[in-house]
Amino acid sequence: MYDFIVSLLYYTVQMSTPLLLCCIGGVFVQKAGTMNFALEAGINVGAFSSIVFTVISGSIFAGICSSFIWCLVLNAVFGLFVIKLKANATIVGLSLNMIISAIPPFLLSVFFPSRGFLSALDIIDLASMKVDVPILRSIPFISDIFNNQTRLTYLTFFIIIFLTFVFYKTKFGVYIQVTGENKGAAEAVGINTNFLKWVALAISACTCAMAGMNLSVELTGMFNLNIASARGLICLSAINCGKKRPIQACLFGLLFGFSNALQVCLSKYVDVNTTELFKVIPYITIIIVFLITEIPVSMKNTMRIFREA
Amino acid sequence: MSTIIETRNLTKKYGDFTANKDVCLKVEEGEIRAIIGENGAGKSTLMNMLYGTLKPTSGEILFDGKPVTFDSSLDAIKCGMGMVHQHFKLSPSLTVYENIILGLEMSREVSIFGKKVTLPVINNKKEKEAVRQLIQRYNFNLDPGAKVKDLSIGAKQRVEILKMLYRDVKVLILDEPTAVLIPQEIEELIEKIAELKKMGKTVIIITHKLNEVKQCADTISVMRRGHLVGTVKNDDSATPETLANMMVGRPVQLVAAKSPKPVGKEVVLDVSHLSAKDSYGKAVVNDVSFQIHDNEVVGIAGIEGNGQTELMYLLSGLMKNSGGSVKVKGKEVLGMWPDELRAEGIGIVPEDRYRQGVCLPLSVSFNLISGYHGDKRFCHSGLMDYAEIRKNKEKLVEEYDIRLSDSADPPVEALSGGNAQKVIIAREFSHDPSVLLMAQPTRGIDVGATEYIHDEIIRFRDKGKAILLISSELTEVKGLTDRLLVMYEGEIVGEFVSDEVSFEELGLYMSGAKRMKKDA
Repeated sequence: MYDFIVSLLYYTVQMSTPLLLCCIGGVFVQKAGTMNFALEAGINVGAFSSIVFTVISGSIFAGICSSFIWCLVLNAVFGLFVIKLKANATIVGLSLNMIISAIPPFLLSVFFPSRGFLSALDIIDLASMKVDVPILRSIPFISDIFNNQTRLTYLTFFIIIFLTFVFYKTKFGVYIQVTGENKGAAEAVGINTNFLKWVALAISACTCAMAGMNLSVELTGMFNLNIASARGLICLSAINCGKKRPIQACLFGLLFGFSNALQVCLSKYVDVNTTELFKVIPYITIIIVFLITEIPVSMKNTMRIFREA
Repeated sequence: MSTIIETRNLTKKYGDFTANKDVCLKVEEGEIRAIIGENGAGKSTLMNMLYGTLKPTSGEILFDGKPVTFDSSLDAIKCGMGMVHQHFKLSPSLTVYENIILGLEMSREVSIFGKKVTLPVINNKKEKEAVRQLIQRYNFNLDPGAKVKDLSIGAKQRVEILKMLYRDVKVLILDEPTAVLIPQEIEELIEKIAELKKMGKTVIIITHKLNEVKQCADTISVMRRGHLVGTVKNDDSATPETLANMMVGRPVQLVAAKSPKPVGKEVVLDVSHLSAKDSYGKAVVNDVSFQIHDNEVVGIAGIEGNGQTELMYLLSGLMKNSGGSVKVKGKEVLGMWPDELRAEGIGIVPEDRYRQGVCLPLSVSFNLISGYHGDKRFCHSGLMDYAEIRKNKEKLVEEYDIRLSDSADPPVEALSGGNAQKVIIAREFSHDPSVLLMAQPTRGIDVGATEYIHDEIIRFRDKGKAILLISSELTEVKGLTDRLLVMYEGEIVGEFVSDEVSFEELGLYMSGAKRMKKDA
């Protein structure tokens, strides 16, 4: 039982990492008043480009750089349509998700041996991706959960603190909040809201790239077509459940990470068919979370047709 | 006194349409200037040109004697001109001080080795203190640390005014400042404006409410169809009647004449012990009982937020009740949905015109039948009869004098507020209901359309109808009705014969200072 709990918590930390990264960056875009459906595409692009360029160049560093660049390009395309051309953000985001899901199989089947996955395991040493932290090592229990995680997991912790600070304590963060709540208020005092949206998209691109790299380079050393597995969409619901506030959104991200971990840990104890069934756990969690947060609100509502604002 | 703002032959054209024509306005420093005119008279266009959000087609603007051109409202603010818009430009989840300082944030400074270094971090403490001093200096009643979303509308407006004062403007333009305020807040605002004048600020108020203009303005400029038709001193010769004449261009009757026809004997609408709770479990409508007879208009007066809105929701089937009954000609209708209510002969003119009254992107002809889609006239075995719908529109547009813009059947969003309201009135009146429920029927509507709607109400009463009129305009609710009920905290606290009660007496009941004993 102890082992089960420890491994459950260890996996929670591990599996929350990409969700938390995606959430914290996504909060800025959402708060700036743009619905960024392309988070899913961002994770895919981050994961795919990092592995492809690692394989081509033989250097992980080149893979990391390209991952950032391609995610920025992706979000620039999103921004071009949504901010510059004022297209509907949901539709643009959805189409980007579709397009991005089609590009890897095409490139893989043309240039690489298999169309379903691309392995960089001869370049990436998975064991070296995990870090043994001396301070954590000596603490019992804590060590089993937090030690030997990947670099990005530790970095995520600091990124969340830093971006939350930026969100609440700097001009930029306050302007982002105002832009999403009342664009007119920002523009009336001379704030360039479009510029803010571009910066928010750039932040989100970087965190998505990191989320993608965490999944591909750090955890598996390969890319497969199902690598993002709707994490971008899960993050979108985490952000909305957390009312577009950074810490709250991250807490929901953590909850969804936990349900992912639960699925992985429980799978060890059951047969293959049940494992497949357990894959619904994260999604069921989302539905339950929505029920828990929404039912009391609608129970209290005494209006019959619409809700009072 | 010197002239602070002057416009010379200011003209603004949109294609063939001239919104402002050769406007020559002179505003003296330190005065309170009211600019009045009907909707669409060009007041807002003029102000937007002064404030830099619109570019004039021709003519020039002089500020403090010097010609100026503004590319944006920022230039106007730098020059010393501030504007408070009708729709507030505030961020609800931020605090009062954050909203006031927005755009001019103070950074935190630290000294490292004796050198001052500015950090890219906001100094919340210093900002809050600065705003506290600002509030104190102008004697505004506000808590700098409160979240804007928790404030009343009046307080939000004070935040907007302070936002401009923080930028040290000399001229303050207020666009329809009283449209959204309750009576006490209006009093408070008028006092504040007088105080600002004493501090040497110039205030320009755009409005169409004549009583308030009389109370606070020094001089009054009147606009009509894009022209500045005159500027008068606010003295005894400028009565609301003469001002209304200037605005409309013909004599106007500000309060409709009552009909001599006596109230009928039959009880048409019978409301008894009606109650409802809001989402927080608070009783917002509490044991309300009243009756309306044929040939009778019953008014409900009260300060907004005392349950009138919820009472209207209950009667029009939009809210769950927690007890009581509503009978129309003896038949129980409480708990029915709006379409069933309409079938029972209840006409509804809702308070929030654009949310519950019309569907903005839909055409006038469809809005004129909405709620009555199932009517045999317009719908045969599930198919809409477009020819009949169009005929209905043509008839009602003619009959109710709805002024459509250039096209034959525009969406309602292209109409002015007065004409949108006429669409609702035409729809409800034309189906000949036996009971008519009306809430704030003339809110935000110009003098001409108000006069028209008042006449229609009286005419409808004389057809033997029962009318409930909920309004926060005391003159309207007292002038049009036969009986008047006062609502306070969800209860009916007084009932009067409209012609026999004074405004002062009503005020005491509305503020909760007096109440009548309830019959057992």
